[in-house]
Amino acid sequence: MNSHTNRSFTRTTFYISAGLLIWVATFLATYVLAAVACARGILLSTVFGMGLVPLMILAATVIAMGLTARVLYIAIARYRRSALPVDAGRTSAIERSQQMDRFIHFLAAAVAGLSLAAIVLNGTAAIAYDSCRATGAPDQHRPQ
Amino acid sequence: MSSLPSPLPRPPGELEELERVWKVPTGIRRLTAVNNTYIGIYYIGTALLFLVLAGVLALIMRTQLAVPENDLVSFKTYNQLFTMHGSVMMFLFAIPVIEAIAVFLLPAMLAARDLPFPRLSAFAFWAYASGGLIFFGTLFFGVAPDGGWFMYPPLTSHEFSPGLNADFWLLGIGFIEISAIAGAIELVVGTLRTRPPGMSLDKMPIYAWVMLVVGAMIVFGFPPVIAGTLLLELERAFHWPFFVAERGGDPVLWQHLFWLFGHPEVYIIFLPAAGLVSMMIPTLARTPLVGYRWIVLAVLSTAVLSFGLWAHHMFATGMPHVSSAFFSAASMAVAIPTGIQVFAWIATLWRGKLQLTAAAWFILGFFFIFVLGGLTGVMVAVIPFDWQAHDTYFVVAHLHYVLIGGMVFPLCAALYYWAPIASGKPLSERMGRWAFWLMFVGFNLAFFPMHISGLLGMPRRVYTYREGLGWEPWNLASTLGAYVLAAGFALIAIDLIKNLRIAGKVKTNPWRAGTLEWLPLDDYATRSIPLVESRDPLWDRPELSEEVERGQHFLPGTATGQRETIVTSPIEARPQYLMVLPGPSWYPMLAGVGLALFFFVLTVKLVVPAVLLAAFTLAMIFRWVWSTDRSGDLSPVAVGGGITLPVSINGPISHAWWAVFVLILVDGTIFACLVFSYFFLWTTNPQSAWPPADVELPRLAWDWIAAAMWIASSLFIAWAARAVSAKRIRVLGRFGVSLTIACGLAAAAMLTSSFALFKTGMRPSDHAYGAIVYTILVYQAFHVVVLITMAVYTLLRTYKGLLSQANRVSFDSTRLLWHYMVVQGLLAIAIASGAPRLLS
Repeated sequence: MNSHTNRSFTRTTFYISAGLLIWVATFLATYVLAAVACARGILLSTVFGMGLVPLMILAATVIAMGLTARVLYIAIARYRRSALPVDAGRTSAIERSQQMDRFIHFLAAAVAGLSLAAIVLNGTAAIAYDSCRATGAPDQHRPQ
Repeated sequence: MSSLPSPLPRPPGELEELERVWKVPTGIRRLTAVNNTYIGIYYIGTALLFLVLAGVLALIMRTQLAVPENDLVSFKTYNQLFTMHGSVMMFLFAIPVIEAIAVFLLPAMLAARDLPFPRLSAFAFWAYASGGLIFFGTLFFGVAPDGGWFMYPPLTSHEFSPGLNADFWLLGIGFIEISAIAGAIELVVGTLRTRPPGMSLDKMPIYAWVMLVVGAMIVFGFPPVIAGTLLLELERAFHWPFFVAERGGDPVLWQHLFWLFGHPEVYIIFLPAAGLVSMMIPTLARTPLVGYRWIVLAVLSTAVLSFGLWAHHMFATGMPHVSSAFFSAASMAVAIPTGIQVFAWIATLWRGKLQLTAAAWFILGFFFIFVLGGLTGVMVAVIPFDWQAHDTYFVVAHLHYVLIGGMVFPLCAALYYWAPIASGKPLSERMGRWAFWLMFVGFNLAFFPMHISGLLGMPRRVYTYREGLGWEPWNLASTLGAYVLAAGFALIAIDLIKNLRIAGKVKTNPWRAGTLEWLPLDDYATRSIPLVESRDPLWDRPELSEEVERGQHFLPGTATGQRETIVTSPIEARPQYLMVLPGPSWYPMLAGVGLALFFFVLTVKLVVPAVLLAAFTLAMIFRWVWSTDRSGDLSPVAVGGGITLPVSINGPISHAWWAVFVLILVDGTIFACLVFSYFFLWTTNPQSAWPPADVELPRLAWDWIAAAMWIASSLFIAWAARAVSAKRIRVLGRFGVSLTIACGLAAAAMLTSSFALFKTGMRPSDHAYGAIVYTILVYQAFHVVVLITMAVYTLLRTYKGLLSQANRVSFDSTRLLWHYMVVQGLLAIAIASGAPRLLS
């Protein structure tokens, strides 16, 4: 991300929201996997003593955490490399551009950090409560 | 841009010409006004009217429930009362008022002369106002919707609600959805492209950030309810069994579609109010906002996370534990960014010194009430607790704490804070404080006891209750509180009626605020568009106000003799071109009223009047678009600061292109919801019944032919695009012929797919499988009709010599939507033919 250049709106938007987009993808994958597995009674066997569905959710969660952590690392590194503004009042075009850079990198890092927390929360819940059992219904599709 | 401020004096007649061009019509022609200030005031006033009307319904309900076994109203009337109270509050007050405030305030905050599509705002307002009044009027004829504001089937299906009541809700909400989507397009394009030069994203007011994000939320959040209302109306009108279990449907599908909209909706309602609070607190505390970047983070995160919570409204439907668990976790996760905002506000108040104006009192009230509501929200996010509290008055208490606390109190603060921008003088501080205390005490007296009556087992939506259940004192307290709350609202209404006017010229800043909406304003907005260098320009450069008013910044007059504003780049806000804006017109108003009447007449099944009204509405839209789509070459103009800008532009930089892109996102999301419905129903049907055993699939040969025709139509559109670069574009030349062939191919592709499906013998009313497949095809057919109409419009413009390389927005818009339609068509074939083969 260079200063003094016309920043691409699309790239900037994706960069800032990368963490949240990874959360969305993980959430969708978890939702679809759990819904289809429970509805169709598939993927209910166990591997290494753990149900296949929670294992797949665990894998998706770990991958998502890794990707988000990578975004977080890159954004923090870029933020640190951005020069600090000289003052907060009337500044030159270069200084304003550098302020903008820091803002973008800060947002990307903060979004990634918060998304990491959300991914962990979602993943933990889905893995901890791995039952297809519904309220009051017999446990027909309980993962082994 | 370093040559600003420009030297004085300004050329003679410059200001007079600006005033002439932006003058608002008088008399009856005031109805044709499209200035955002006028449309904004009309919009806010209408939304507040619906608040009052829905509030009166609430008072009737509370009076009925004041004592046990009351007979003030029958159960049938009561069902209509609570349905209309919820529907009017959510659809005719809450969503419109947050959009209305943005219409009024956002251009001023961004020092833009107007929103990018003023006639679209006018159309959206008139559709909403006329449709909303008709919708409310159904109460007086006993045909108001009565299935609850979220209208769950099977209660609202044809079998159990055979009357028109549910249809009024389904079709009535249609125009609200159109209004909201139109508003979202304005918000997204306006916030990203009409900021003043220098107002890069890191200097954008928090409220503008919020409205940008909320606009995006509307784009993705409203389509599920559009899809859902379409499906339920098809079921009621034609017996397509999407929600009928005996024929492969599932009523839970409605709940998924509704709450996919419904949960983001409450954040669509809350976030703008939070944005307004973020603007008011720094001014009233006399200190810059603490944690600006953190608040931006919080707004972005809340927006996205809110799309992952919807099923927490469905914990009692029997979802698998694993699914319920991660919805519960997501519901708790969303409290983190909300907490960040609250702590940022507290830190700002801590650092500054709050002036206890009426607005400040309402903000303090918001803190107390909203935080309480948030806490009970975390309680109901805990699944076992929710199983006990579901459908009881505990939930009623929670939702009113977050909605009234989270939106209405900030709204009242905003009225007291920003009224001077409209009328040049503040409202009455004394009345404001009285109103606040009446509302605060009344609200807590009305709604806190509902937590207790709910925990004691009182269900929602009961029109009375037996004596001796222990609910009596809590209900009586709630009723008394409701009347005290109403008295508070009445005081505000009196204050507004007495003191709020639209003043033409306004030069006031009573709170000594630092943001641009407090620059001197007139019908043309600001005399010149300022160069912005910080987040609080009026604090950092107190002389800016006078410079702008003297015309020493950008665009101090009208460069083309028409209404204009500057379009800037989305991130750095560098000037890119001058956007010419349309002026007053009858057509958007007539189109809006026509559309509302069309929906109403269709609901009562008067087919011929419906057809006539549809034709009338389309004719008005045609006239509106024709007169807005400007022709003629416009040379680059000087806008001040040594900058020359082109007038209007084509291609991906143009605001029209961006608007069409946003529309495609809406369209694609609706289609995605239909695809979701297909796969959801697949999971709820036995493997052998999807498709049903007696159903034949379309022959693949027809599918391949249709797919080839879709792709070919796209290629002809691309060829027509190349022809637009020619010096002369002719109907009978390469351009016109390509466009015509593309239309023929699209029609043929649609007919081929329809024929292939029809030939299988499958009918949509037989089984949910057929219903959803036919719906996807019908949705595609609707696009074909619209796009061919747009192509014909483009050919007409060509025939009249109005289409050129420099003026090609009608073709570019058609082209973008065409390619989207082709992609959708290919996906429709994949769903109708590919999915069942793959899944089996």
